[in-house]
Amino acid sequence: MNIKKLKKIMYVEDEIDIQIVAKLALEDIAGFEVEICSSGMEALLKVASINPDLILLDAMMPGMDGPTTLKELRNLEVSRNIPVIFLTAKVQGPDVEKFKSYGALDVLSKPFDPLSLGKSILALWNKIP
Amino acid sequence: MVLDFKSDKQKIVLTCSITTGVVALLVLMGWQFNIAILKSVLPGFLSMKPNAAICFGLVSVALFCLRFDDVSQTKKLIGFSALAGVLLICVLTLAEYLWNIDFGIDELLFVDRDISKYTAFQPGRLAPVTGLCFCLLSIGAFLNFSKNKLHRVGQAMYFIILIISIQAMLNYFFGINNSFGIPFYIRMPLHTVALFVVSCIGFLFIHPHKGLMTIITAEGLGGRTARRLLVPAVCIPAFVHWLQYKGINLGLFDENFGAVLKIMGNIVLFSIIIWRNAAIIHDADIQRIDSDSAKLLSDKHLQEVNEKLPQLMFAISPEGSVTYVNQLWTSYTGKTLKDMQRQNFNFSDFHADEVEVALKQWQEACASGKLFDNILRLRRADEVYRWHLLRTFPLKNEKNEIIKWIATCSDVDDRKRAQLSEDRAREENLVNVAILNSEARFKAIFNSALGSIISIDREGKFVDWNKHAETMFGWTKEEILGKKMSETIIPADLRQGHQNGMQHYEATGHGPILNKMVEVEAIRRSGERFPIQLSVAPVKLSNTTIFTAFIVDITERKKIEHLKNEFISIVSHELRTPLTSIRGSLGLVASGAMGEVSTKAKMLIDIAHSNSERLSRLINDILDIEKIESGGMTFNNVNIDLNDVVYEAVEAHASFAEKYKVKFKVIGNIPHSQINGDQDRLMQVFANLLSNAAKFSPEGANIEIGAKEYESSVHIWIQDFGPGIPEEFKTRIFGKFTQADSSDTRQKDGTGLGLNISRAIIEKLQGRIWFESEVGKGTKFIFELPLHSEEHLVNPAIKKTHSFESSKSILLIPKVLHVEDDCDVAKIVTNIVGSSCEVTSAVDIYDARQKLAEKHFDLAVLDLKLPDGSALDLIWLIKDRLPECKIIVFSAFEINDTRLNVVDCILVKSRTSNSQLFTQVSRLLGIKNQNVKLPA
Repeated sequence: MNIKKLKKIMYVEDEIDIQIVAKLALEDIAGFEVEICSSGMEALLKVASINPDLILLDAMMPGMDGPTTLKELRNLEVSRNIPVIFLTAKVQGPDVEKFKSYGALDVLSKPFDPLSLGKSILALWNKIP
Repeated sequence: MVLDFKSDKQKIVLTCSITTGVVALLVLMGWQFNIAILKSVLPGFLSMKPNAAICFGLVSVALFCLRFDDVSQTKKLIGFSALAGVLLICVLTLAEYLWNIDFGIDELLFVDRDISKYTAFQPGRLAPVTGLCFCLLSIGAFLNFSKNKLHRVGQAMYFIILIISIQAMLNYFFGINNSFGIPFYIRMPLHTVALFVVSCIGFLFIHPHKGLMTIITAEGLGGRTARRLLVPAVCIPAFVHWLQYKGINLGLFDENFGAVLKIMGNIVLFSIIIWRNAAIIHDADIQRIDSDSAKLLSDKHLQEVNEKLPQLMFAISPEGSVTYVNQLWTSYTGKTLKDMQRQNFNFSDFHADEVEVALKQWQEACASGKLFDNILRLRRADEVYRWHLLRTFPLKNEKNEIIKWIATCSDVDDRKRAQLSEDRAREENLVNVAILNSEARFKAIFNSALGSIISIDREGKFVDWNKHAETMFGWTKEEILGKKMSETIIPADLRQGHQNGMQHYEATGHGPILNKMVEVEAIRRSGERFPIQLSVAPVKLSNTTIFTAFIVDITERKKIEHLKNEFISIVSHELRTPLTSIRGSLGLVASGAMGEVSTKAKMLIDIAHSNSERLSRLINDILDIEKIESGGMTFNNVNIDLNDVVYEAVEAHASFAEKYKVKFKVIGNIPHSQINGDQDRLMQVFANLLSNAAKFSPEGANIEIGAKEYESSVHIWIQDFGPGIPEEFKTRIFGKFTQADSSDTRQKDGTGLGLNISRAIIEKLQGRIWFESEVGKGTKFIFELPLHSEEHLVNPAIKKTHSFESSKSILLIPKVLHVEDDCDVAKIVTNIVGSSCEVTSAVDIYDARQKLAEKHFDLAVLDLKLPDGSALDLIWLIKDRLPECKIIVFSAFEINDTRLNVVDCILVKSRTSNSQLFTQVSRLLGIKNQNVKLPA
């Protein structure tokens, strides 16, 4: 059980529509604080200043994709230990295993249910030892 | 008694020669050492004179030298010189007597001291009769050797000597000292007489086939009779007379009665001899009559007839030796009768290829005594073989005994050769046509094949290369043959693997890629690398092995596969991305968290929301189906507690119950059975079954969920009390995109893929799923999962080897489908197998199809003749749908159909007992029958 309370989530997503929906679902419904980054590069630049408790990462993005972003985040001192959850449409069996092997906490699939997305994230957060 | 005079003659002569020589020598020794007994044999008897002894010595030498037929000149010279010496001595002696001269030859060597009291002549001189006999003896011998007929005179002289000798001998027996009343008749000594007899016989036998001797030595009846009678003729009168003489002398009877006795004795003894001889001649006569036919067909007769026939002919004795050949035979084969007689008849003059068979038939013919015909190649004198009809037939006597086989050979060479060449032509023609046909067919297939067919030898060099291979790889057949495969079409990085594979095959006779479809890469002449599908078959030839490969270029297929994968990726990402926004937005608005909307707007938002959810489910299901079909669905199997999973599923899907206003009700205790499976996939199955049950239940209805543990498996069921599944829909229930009955007015959302996916998942977990449904009463979906056993986890290898037993007989109760239109038979079969299996009966093909759609079966028992067709059609359906399902055909008739080849067992009703049926069922299901009671 993670004793730390989950407050701030950084969401890396290139689709603006999804950004909006997810932000609403996680802030208005689940009550977290959400910061959005539109690309992997932006996430790397902003992760130090945002300093989130958890990063929610899309897998398929133009430019730097999700797995690359994760790798780069792990290279940064500031984000090395921040848990990362993939939120992706690519949820074929082998993909999930691959993402986990990169060091992701877990994978959540799109399309998501906005009402239960926060609960799912919190459940994963609470599982972190 | 038949004497072989050819060899016995010499023995007789030799014996005579030695006897004479030895006695003469003894007498001379007697004279030398003055031993009376040697000179006179018995004391008081006359002694043999030295000159007589010398003469006998010379006679012995003559006999010894002249005993052969073809005497050498030297021997002849010695023999005749010896005889000339004898003649000289005796002529001189006789001259002394006649003219009373003394040549001084009488006591030349020895002086006769005991002067004979019987003679008035010179002591030591030969008796005149002795001298005469010696003269006759030597002259006779000369005459016997003469070429003209004077030998008869010679023989007459011998007989004279014999008569004189016998007379002299008789004189001794009867004690007569003087005879003939001739003044100078002097008795001959006893051994002189004996030696005369012996030497006469010796000389006579030098020429056994000349003159008078012919009859004595003849092999025929005459010879035999002569030999038999001659000795008694000499001995009997002498013996009878001697008896009479002795009897009178001893005073046993007087002379008159003695004469009577003598006559009687002669009569009796001669009668006996005559009788005996008559008997012998009589027997011979009978024998001759018996073999009358043989006589008729004697070789002499045959000769007369056969020499006039145009056929080759020979005769064979029943013992197998050739007894006659005709002239034509000898001139044709160059073999005379003598040549043929060297060994028993054994077809040595015929072609070696046919001898073995012919000999066998000949032996059979000999045993059965039947005519024997054979067409064989006979060797001519010039070593040329020609076909002959050899016909051998037996000649039999009245007693039906074979006395002779007659064989004829007729030349049938022209006819036989014509027939042979005709046969050969026909045969060759057939073979040629067959070869041409198959070659042409093979060539056509080989060159028109839609794939490359290439062959390599054991060194990896090409030995075959079809047209398609030329286009595929860019080398023509002429260019590639003899080149190494590893240096041409195999990419550099795969060459080592190819080498290893070849070496492995050489060593073990096995290859990892042989007789299988494998996908590898090859290179074209241009160096372009491309994917191929390949199957390699080793072809064992008489002395080597070649490997033939069938190759299909799968570049296009790979491209299509790639496109498909890309498409799947697009579906999964590009469709989901916009859907994420839509569904998220609608979900937020519909929740009311974003503020109130009007009732009408709320209604529309709800519709949009639920359809966006449906669309996302559909996408997920389509992706699942694709994964199942491509084998890409992965299972993360762990140990699961059945109780946990059931309650979790019911809780997780409570929203369905809420939505359709039904109640999920767990019935009874759910056992804490341990099963092995993927939690998420199991939840997917529960989701499908629970949502289906909820959708198809009336509002307020209960949906019952239960589970039960069996010996090796668990059953989990979900029972609704809805309308049930209509009959016509049952067969398609597990199919793709099968939605609810269209006549049902109620809206049922769902993709129509759920049950199809559920069945695939359950089967992947080594279980099965089926349903029981009754229209108007409800439907019960049941799925069965094997109990987790230690074996599964600890040692998967063991599980594999026992997979049949464990999955079919230990873990689960076997399910048997019995298709039979006769209710009575159906009942019986159910009784027989029902004790150990769950039997589902179907009465016709339609029924059987439905049952097959609903349920999994381990065994199908099929009656072939059914009201709506033949169950042969079901066999393929079963094999396609349930490849593991065993099939027994239990039919009233025996049926030959290739479709029956896949069947595990065929039983004919009338010939199969209950226990046999049960045994077969048990065998196929792997049931041990100890706990089963067999119905009577």
